[in-house]
This record gives sequence, structure tokens and C-alpha cells, in this order.
Amino acid sequence: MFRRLAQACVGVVLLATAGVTALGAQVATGVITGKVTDRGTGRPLAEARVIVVGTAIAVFSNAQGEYRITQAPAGPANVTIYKIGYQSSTDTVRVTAGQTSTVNFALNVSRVQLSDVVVTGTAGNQERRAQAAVVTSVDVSDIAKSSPAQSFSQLLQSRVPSVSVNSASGTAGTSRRINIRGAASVNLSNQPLIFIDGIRVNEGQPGLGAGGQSADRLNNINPDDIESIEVVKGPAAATLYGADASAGVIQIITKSGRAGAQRFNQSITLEAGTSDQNWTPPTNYAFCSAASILPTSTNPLCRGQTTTTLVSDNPLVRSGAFRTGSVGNLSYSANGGGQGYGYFFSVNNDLQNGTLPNNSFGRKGIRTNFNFVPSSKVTVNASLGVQQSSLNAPQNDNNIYGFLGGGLLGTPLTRTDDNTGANGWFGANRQLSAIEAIETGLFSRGTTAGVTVSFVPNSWLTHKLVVGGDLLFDEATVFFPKNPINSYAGLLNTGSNTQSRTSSERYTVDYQANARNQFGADNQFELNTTLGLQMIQTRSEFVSATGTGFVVNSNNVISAASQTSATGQLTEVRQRGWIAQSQLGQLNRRFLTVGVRVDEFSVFGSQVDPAILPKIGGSWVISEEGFWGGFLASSVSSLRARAAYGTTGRAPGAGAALTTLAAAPSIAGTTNEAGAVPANPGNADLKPERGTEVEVGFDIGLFNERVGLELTYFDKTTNDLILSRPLPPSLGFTQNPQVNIGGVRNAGFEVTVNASVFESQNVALDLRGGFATLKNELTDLGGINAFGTLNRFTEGAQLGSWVSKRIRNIDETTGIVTVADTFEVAGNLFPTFEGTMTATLTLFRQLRINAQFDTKQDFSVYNLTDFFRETQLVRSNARLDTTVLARRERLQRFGNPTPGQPAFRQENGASTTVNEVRDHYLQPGDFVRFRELGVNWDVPTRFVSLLPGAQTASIGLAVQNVALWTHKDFTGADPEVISAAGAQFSRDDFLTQPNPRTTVLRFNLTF
Amino acid sequence: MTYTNIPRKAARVLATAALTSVAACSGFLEVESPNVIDAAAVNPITDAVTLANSAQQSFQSALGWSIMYGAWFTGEAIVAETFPTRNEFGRRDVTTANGSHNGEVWFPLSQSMAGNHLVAELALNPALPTPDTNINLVRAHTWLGYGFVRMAESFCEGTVYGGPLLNTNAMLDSAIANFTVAITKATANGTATATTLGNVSRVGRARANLQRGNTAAAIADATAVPAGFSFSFNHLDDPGNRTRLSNRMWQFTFDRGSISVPASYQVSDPRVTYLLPGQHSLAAQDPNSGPFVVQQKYPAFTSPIRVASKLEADYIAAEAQGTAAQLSLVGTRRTAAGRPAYAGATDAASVLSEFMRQKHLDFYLEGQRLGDFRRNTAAVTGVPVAGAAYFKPGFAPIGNQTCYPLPLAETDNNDNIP
Repeated sequence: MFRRLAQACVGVVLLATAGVTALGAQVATGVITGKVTDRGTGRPLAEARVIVVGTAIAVFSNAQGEYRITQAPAGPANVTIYKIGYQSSTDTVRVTAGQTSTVNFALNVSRVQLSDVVVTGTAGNQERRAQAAVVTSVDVSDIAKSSPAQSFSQLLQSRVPSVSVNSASGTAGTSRRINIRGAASVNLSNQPLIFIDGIRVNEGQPGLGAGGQSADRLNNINPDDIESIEVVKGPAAATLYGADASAGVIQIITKSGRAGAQRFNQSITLEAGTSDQNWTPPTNYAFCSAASILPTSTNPLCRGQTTTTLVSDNPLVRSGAFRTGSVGNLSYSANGGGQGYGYFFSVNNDLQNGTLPNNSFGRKGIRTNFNFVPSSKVTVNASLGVQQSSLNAPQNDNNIYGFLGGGLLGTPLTRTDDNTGANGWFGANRQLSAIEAIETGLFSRGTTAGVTVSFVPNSWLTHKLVVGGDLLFDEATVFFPKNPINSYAGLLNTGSNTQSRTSSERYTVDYQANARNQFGADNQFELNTTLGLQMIQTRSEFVSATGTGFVVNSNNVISAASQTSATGQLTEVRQRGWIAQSQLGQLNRRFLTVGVRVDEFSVFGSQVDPAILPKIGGSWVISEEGFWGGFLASSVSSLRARAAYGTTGRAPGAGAALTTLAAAPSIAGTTNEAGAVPANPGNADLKPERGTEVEVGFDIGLFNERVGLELTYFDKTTNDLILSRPLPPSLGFTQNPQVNIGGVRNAGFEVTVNASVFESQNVALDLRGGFATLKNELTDLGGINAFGTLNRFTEGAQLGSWVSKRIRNIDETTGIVTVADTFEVAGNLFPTFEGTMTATLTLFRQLRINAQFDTKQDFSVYNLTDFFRETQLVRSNARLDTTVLARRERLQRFGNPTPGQPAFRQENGASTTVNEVRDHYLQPGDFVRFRELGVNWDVPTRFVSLLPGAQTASIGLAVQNVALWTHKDFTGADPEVISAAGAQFSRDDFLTQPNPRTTVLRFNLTF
Repeated sequence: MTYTNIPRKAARVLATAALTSVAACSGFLEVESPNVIDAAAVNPITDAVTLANSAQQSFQSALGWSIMYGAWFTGEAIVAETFPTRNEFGRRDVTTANGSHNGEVWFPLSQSMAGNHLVAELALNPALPTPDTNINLVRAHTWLGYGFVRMAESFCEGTVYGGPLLNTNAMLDSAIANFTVAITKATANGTATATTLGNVSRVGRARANLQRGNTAAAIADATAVPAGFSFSFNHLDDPGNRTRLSNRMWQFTFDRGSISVPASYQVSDPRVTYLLPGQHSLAAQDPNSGPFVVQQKYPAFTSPIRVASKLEADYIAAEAQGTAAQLSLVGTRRTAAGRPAYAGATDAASVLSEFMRQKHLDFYLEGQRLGDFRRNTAAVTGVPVAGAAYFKPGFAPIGNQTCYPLPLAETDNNDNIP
């Protein structure tokens, strides 16, 4: 299978190879050296990127701000410096063959990032000033110093407006939901595409068979390996990623070596910490039964009591189910370089133990990046990352075998003197030890490898080829041990072992040719044209086998089971996209960009033409115009206006267009035989969803760059929405066909503020924050009826809005509770406002204190835990003790208690139940969270120097989930949890572990 | 750099792109989809046996669901289950948005109807050999008939194939029509398999006629069923296909602890066997369900379920014939079960009640009660009483439904239902 891709790409590779081998003639070279400093303070600036314009050469300054370029072509050379947080600077130097030239740079601070180079969402590297649509960069190396983040997703949490990261549970190693600028699709994934150094990786969140939680491929990435993250938020910027990118693109840029640095640095980081559940689970109540009060009763709570005695028990607390979790991470990295090469190597070994038994997440990895600069015309970057993770997940969530299910749904009536039987837990003989004995794990190995070749045959032409692959292999286990007391159900008690194997291969080939032409008077115009091709192939295979019935638990391989069964799947998707883009710039401050991507997909219907995805945008750095001056310039030091329009898509899943039958065996005598039933009527016209976005905004620097503002308005429309047209079940198809109908709109404002509130020699206070609004609306259902029973899809409302037959009137005298006849929208699924604020106080340039707050507002959570404990398996004293709630509150929650009367009465007189009247349990999820508190101390040099060879050292203490403030009507533990993490349109809390408080002590030493 | 360079540069870039294009073609987008069966790869004529057997199996699976939910609805079993949606059946208060109702009762039945309809329509295909005797058509019409019977007995209104609403009589008429076709073709076919299906259809048509009120026709069909006839669906203990191939009642007794025998059936009658707590090691899924009494009529995943029999035909005929015939059969059945002779009142209502009681012991968990309840509401005992408290705390009182509503998923999406 890879052979086809390889054959198809041979030409591309040959092109690049031919280019590389054409280097032949060597040109005379000299050396450029210099120093980069902060103009205001004179401090040397490390990690500044130094390039020679028109060549492939790029090096970085060292800790002393010094840089050295060894292969600069003789002649005049333009040297440009880039450094995050500073304006770029270019100077000209004449290079003499065999000699050293020096050029120093003093950079101006800039809160408005116009000079950064971004690599994502652009054709060819580009300065941000030329980009019409926002691509947000997150400087991870800066964040990591004071953040307790243990995963990629945690690094991203609350850093970028409109990038909504939601931790689905407090279980270590489980998934987080990432939505960028809302949800644009009903049936397809709303998760962004993930690239690592230009290679698309296997993103995804495989289920665990442990309840509602999922694992997360992104957790396998070692945060310490990440240099920066670039986020492409919507179609306006993501057009060049094609017909599957409408949910956004995230590019992870890993750390790399420093060619020309002539140095070798090592870094070792130790982290140790704890996590505290910081939550007391609710207590179970019950009235004693007639049998339990007898003198012969074995129930210690009820014996000798009366049937009106309300007894209580909290099995989770009584059994000490929760523990103090731990964090222990060790990472080592080395980087350096010499003449014409650079390297980075890292190895890490991380382990988190969650706060419930059975929960741990271990991660080991090796990454090596090597860059080679054989000449000023060619750079070769090769990267290899190997990760291995092991997740042991506790049973939980919508799961009768779970810890919280067992603890919160048990009844005190089953308590026994000898602690046998249920003993207060849910299930006949399913106490803590029985739940703990269930093994659920996912062992994952992944390899991501890629090579990027840049070839600059002359000053106006650049070829760039990225070839790589991401290989993944998962081993999942769900094991119920054989037990003599029937702790589980049915044959599970004889021992059951399910082993699942997933292998996934994803290959990327991405080629771009970029030509630049300067023309006009003083070369004031620059035409920047790119042509390219991107091909991505994904093949996933899944095999699972279950064995049931073992002689002993130690011999639990599938073949040892008395009964076995197996299942398997194989999917393959291929995508090919052609890229063309042209950008006209004038005076490096006015830019107009037009582009198009033409995409073909193996998953399109047979009647569908390739998707043509255009884009157009402009950028204008107004503050660099001649008319900008005087008072205006003194208060608004920089100003850029930008506007962009672009389109992308979201491709349907493999095989979605086909008319299919499903394999369904039938019985022939005493054996089974192959059979088939109608599965999907198919749709030959199925094409990708089409996302169109208009984005306008301003980047503003105020008060001599002390304050930076980024204002953006986006309006994203998804047309040709792929919906599973609900068929009436009477047609007999097991699946609903996917059709392109309907539309979704996401619109909102994004504001980012970056301010230096106070700065002196010894004290600095910086504020960084932002907020985003979201209007998510299902604008058109294409003529099909609203669908969904709890999260419903209704025209004019948010996708997956909560619905209920809302209460119209409560008559406290008669007890009659009148409700609507039909389901009505009762709350948002997605917050319409998200904000974050980070304050950083730096003292004596050595001690940095970082506090991050974030908030999500105007959304609802379904408190299914309370719903169950109050209306289904009644365990809550709010239901049992009639004095706890006022009558009106009881009527609202439980309905009319009068015998013979319906619980709720619709306005049309029909009766209905609490299952359809959920007003109380759809609770406001609004919260403010003190997300992170970090203190980092850079150990003074005089102390560091006591360690032979040591260069720098730092000690940090960071706390995550410091405090949480929720709405007064929210009765759950954590409004962020999602019981069904794999479901896109769900925000239930059903027996889900809240996020714990984690404290991490970090020590870093470079030498 | 000059303007004159631009065309040459552009040409070089375009040439690069052209070369790349050529290289990137050649069938790259062709992929395999082994996960699904491409409908185009199935020949409805040569694969008719497979399709017909599959459709029969779909009915068999639907029947299992239907029996279980009907048992909960009519008090033949109690819901030892935590699912609120399943407890709605125990409370005779099934809502249209009930996901279990749609997914486990309505859809499986609809799927079997659609599958059998697909096979039955092969009669219109000129390539089908011997359409008058084709065994696949016999099979399809037999289970279509039974599908309509189950629909008519369970649902207040029905529909098939995305069509308009059908009332009870229309569903029963469709059942009778399909059974008639099956009997005709089975008779013409003459093989043992066809003869068996023909007799299954005779029992089915008698049942439909009885429900329809066509007593004479019911008697005629019932008496035409040969003595000793019985047809059951076999099941397999296949862990990979438990829901489709295994006995549903044992699955939901053993695997999930959902079905418990109610007190009204714990009467020491050999026709309803069960194990009390202490005699078994299983647990109810919901500890609030009271003592978990495990049915033993179907003690294994492989236990067969009787679908049609001469005994059922006898009950149909006796009910249609009136009190004397009912009383006679009551005596016969009590004797056969080792029970003392009936000593109760002999008025029509009392006899019918005892007649129903004996029938429901004979056909425990065979899916007879709901149809009987709708036909003879007052005579069927043990059904959850409307307005009474449900046996589990926290639930609303028992409702007054006598049949299921069509699920929202059907009424929302069927263009022929206003």
C-alpha cells in the first residue's frame, strides 16, 4: 500500500534530489559573526534566529547573544534577525571569501508580533506581517518554565483565544477535547488536524473500554520536546491544508539543533509532584427496610432502628478509594551544532499516578532532530521521534463496574457486619477490590519520522520537500478476572480478556516551489508565487479478540479461553491536493494574497468533482506608512489591518458514499452461516463539507509597544454540511446515509492583550490575556426535522443544544407541574464566552511568579449523576429527606408525588416523566478557574558555577487547578468533565472523576 | 532582477509543477473498503438464499427483543434493570423518545420486515426461477406475516418501509395476506421445509384472524395445523454474535441480570421453572429489584424459543369457539401440568380468565401475553395496574398504556406520517 504512495512520489523526490545533486559548483564563502542585544537594556538575546536572505542559511544566537555563520556566499549579504517579542532587523554586510565579517544587532521590543516567521498555513516561510489571516504561535519553551502542564493539550489550555480545550475527566492520561472557533460539523470530527514538523500524525482519541473516557494520542508527545505551537484557526488561514482542515490545524514544531553554534549543551529536568482529588464524593442514603431493622439483621446501620430511620454510607470514603496521586518526570536533552550541522536529542521518562487505584500514565520517548547545511543552497532537516506510553485506566463514568458508579449508586441497606456481599457498593459482590481487579490498559507505540529538504538554487527560487510518516501501534486490554463470588455479570465471572490491536500508518508528502520576484522602482514590489502538491495517505487496521472462561487468571491468553470471538476493521483514506498561491507585496507593508487548493479524496462519492478551495486576503501595516506620525504614532506605535477570506472542507469517513450491506450471520441448524442485512443506502454525490470564513482584524501596538492588542472578528460558515439524514427505522437500514445538506455558522470576536504593566531594573509585571466570543448556530437543516433527544440539533440553535420539556408552571397547592408539549432548547453545549488572564511578576530577573485564570461562560452541563441519584437509583438525601428541599424545589425536580397523578403534565394534557423534564439537572456550567500558579527561580550564576560545568539552573513550583468557582445552581463537582469523552455533542457528568489539584516541583540544570 | 526574467522563472516553476503532477497520478486515490459489503457485489437472485436466511434471522432476533419487552410491559417479568428506558416498560409508560424502545423493539422489527420485504419483492424479478414455489419467498412471506402480527399486537399504530400509518386492523390484514401467500407457495413447493413454514403460517394466520376478530377463519386455520406440530427457533452460543444469535431471555438473565420472575408466576407449576435467591449465584442488575428470581425456561444461550405450535392453535381455536371449548382446554392443560382440576366459577369471564392464565403458563416468555392483553384486557391478570406505585422507589406510578407508541425516530423522519 505504501508502495503506491511511494511510486506516486518518486517524481517529487527525484525533483528534489536532482536539485540537491545539482549543487555541484562550490561558491566562495566567508564568515559572518555578530551579537544580538536588547536595545533598551543591552542584554544579550539568546535564541534569536539569524538568516542570510536568499539562501538556506539560518542559525541561532547563543546564551551570550552571539551568532556565527560559516558558509555565507561571498559578496553583499542581507542578514535578518528574528526574535519573538522583538521587531525584526535587517542589515547588509559584505562577505569576503575566507574572511570574517561582523554585524551586530540591537533589537527593539515589540508587543505586536509582525516580524515573527510562521511556517503553518503559508506557502513558504512568511513574516506575520504578510499574513492576511491569524496564525497564532505559542512559545512553549517560555510557558514550560512555570507551568505544571503534563501534556501537549495542557500546554495549549487557555493560551489561545478561540482554542477551547476541555479536560474530560480527572483521570490521568485521558483525553481533552479541542475545539477551534466552535464546532462546524455535526457528523464529522471537530478536532483539528495535527502536524509535527510538517508531518501529519495520527490524531485521535481511542476508547478504552473503561467507561466514557478515552485515551489521547496527543498525550504521547513529550511537552519538553516542543519548541512552539502554531494554531491555524479556520478556513481563512487553513485553505492550503485542503478539504479536511475546516476544524483548524495545529502544527507542533519540535526543538532542533543549532547549526553553526559551535556548542554542546545538555539539559536535565526533574519533576516530582502530587495530585490531590480535592473532592469529597456525596453520601448515599436509604430508609431502613423492615428486614434490616430486625435483631437478626446483619446490617449494622439499621439493626435495631425503625423503618423511618434514614441511614447513610459513603463507600468511597469509607474504603479510602481515593489516594494521593503522584507525578515523576525525568527528561534529558542535548543540543548543539558545528559548521554546517546541528542536532537535538532528547529522552524522557514520565509517570503519573492518578488519584484512583489502577490509574497511571507512563510515557517514554526519544527524539532526535538533525539539520545539515551542506551549502548555502541546501538545508536538510531530519527528525525522528519514538514514543511509548502505557495508560492504565480505572473503570468509571457510564459504567456499573466503575469506582464512582460503585460508590455513588450503592445503598446503605447492603452494609453487612462481616463486610461481605455488596456492603454498600453497587452490585452484588462488587466492592472496591473487585472493581480494582479489573484491568484496563492501552499500550501505545508510535514513530514519527520526517525529512525536510530546502533547496535554494538561486536567490529567487526555493524548493521545499517534506516527506515523512507516522506509524502507530496500540495494544488495548480489558481483563475481568475469574472470581468465585460473581463480582461481575454472567460469563465475565469465568474470566474475560479482550485484546485489541490497532495499527495505523499515515504518510505525508508535501512539495512546494516558491519563486520571488522584486520589481518596480526601488524594487518596491515583490511577487511571491508558490506551487505545490500535498499527498496524505492513512491506513488503519483494527483487530480485536475476546476470550472468556479461564482455568486460572494467570493463563489468560485468548487461546486458553473456553470461548473466543474476534472482530476486525480496515480503512484506508487518501488525499491529494494541488496548491497555488501568489502574493504581491509593496514596500513590505502592503500585501495581497490569492491562492487555491484543488483537492481529491478517496472518500468522495463517485460523482463528485475535486474540491476547489480558493482564498484571498490582504494585510496592511498602516503604521509604517509615511503619513503615520505625530501624536498618532506616539500613542499607537504599530498598527496593522488585515482581512482574509478562505475555504476549506471536512471530508467524510472511509466508505461513507457506498451503498452497503452489513455482515450479519444467521443460524443454519446448529451452526452459523454468513449473512447480510441492509446497512447504508449510500450517496454517490457525497462530497466534503465546505467551510468558508471571513476574518478581519487589527494588530495594534500602544504606548511605545508596552501594550499589544490583537483584535479579530471571524465569521465561518459551513455549507454542504454532512448530516446523517435520519431515515425512518421502518426502512430497515442500520445506518443513516450521509448527505450534504444544511449549514452551520460560527462567528465571534477574539481579543488578545499583551501588556507590560510595569518594568524596572528589578521588577516587571506583565499581563497576557484574552477572550473570545462564539455564536454557534445551526442555520439550516436542509429540510430534515430536528433530531437528537437530549442534545438536539435544531435550526436557529447551537449544535447539540440541551433540550427539555421545560417547566411552565408549578402549582404548589395541587402539586401539578405543567410542562411544554415538546422539547425546547434549555441551554448551550458550547460556551459563548471564554477568557483567560495570565499575570507574570518577575523580581530581580530571577524570580518569576505566574498566575493564570480562565473562565467559560454561558453553557450548560447535564448533571446526570444527581439525576440518577435523585430520580432513578435513589441514593440522595435531597430526595429521601423531605426536609432538605422546599416543596417547590421538589416539585421541579421530581414532579407531582400524588399517587395516580402523572409526574409532569404537558400543556396539552398528556403526561410525561422526569426523563423528559430535565430542567433542574441541566445546570449552568459557568466557571472561573484559577488554572495555574507557578513560581520559578533562576538560580544565580554564582551558585550555579559551584557545580562544575553547569551553565544555568532553575527551580520551580507549579500548581494546577488551584481553585474553582462555579455558578450557584451547579451542584456537580467539576463543570468541565465530560462522561462520554468520545461524543462530540455531549457534556454529561455521569460518575466522572473531577480534575484533581496537581502540584509539581521542577528542577532544571543545563551544562 | 528584471521583468524579462519573470516568464522564464514562471516556466521553470510550471515545468516543475507539471513534472510533479505526472508523478503524483496513477491511481493513487483507489482504495479498498473491506469493512463493508458493497451492495453492488451481491446478486439478489443467486444470493437469495443468503438474503432470505438473513431476513429470517433478523426476525428471530427481533422476536427475542419483543418477547422481553412485552414481558416487562405485561408483568410476565419484572425489570431488574437500572435503565430508566427499560423501566418505562415495567411502568407501562413508554415515551416516544425512549431510546431502548426505538433501538431494541421498533428498529429490529422494522429491520426484519424490510429484509423480508426485499426478498419477497424478488418475485417481481423475471430472473427468479420458479416464483410460485420458491422457498425463499415462502420464508420471506412467513416472517413478514409474523412481523405484522407482532407489530399489530405491540404497537398502537404501525408502519412499514417508510409508508403511512397503519392501524391495528390494517396490520393484521397485511399479516393475513402474507401468511396466505406463504401457505400457497409452501403447498406448491411441497418440501419438508416448505411444509413446516406453511404450518407456521397457518398458526400465524389463525393468530392474526383471532386478533382481528375473524373467529371462523381463526378456527379453520387452527384446526388445519397437524397434531403435534411445533416449530422453534434454534439459538447459538456465539459470544461474537450474542445479540443476533443467542437466546435473548437468557442473555438478559445471565449477562445483565435484567429479567426476574414476578411473584405471580412463582406458583410451582412445571411450565414456569425458576430459581430463588440462594439457589443460584446471579445478581440483579438493580439491587432495588427485590429478590432476583431466575427463570429457567431458557437456561442457556442455546435454548430454543417456540414460535408456532399445535398447542397454540388449540388455544386459538378454543378461544374462538367459546367458553365450553376454553373450559375443556383448561382442564386438559391443568391435567397435563399435574395441577388439580379447575374448581372456579364457570361464567364466561371467569373461564376466560383461567383460560388466559393457563395459556400464559404454557407460553411463559413466548410473547403471547401482550396480544392477549389487548384482546382480552380484563381477563389477563398480573399486568401492572394503572395508577399503582411502581415496585421501585423513585419512579412515577404505573401508566395506563395497552400498546406502544411509535417512536419519535419514526414519526419525526417518515414523510408519510403527518
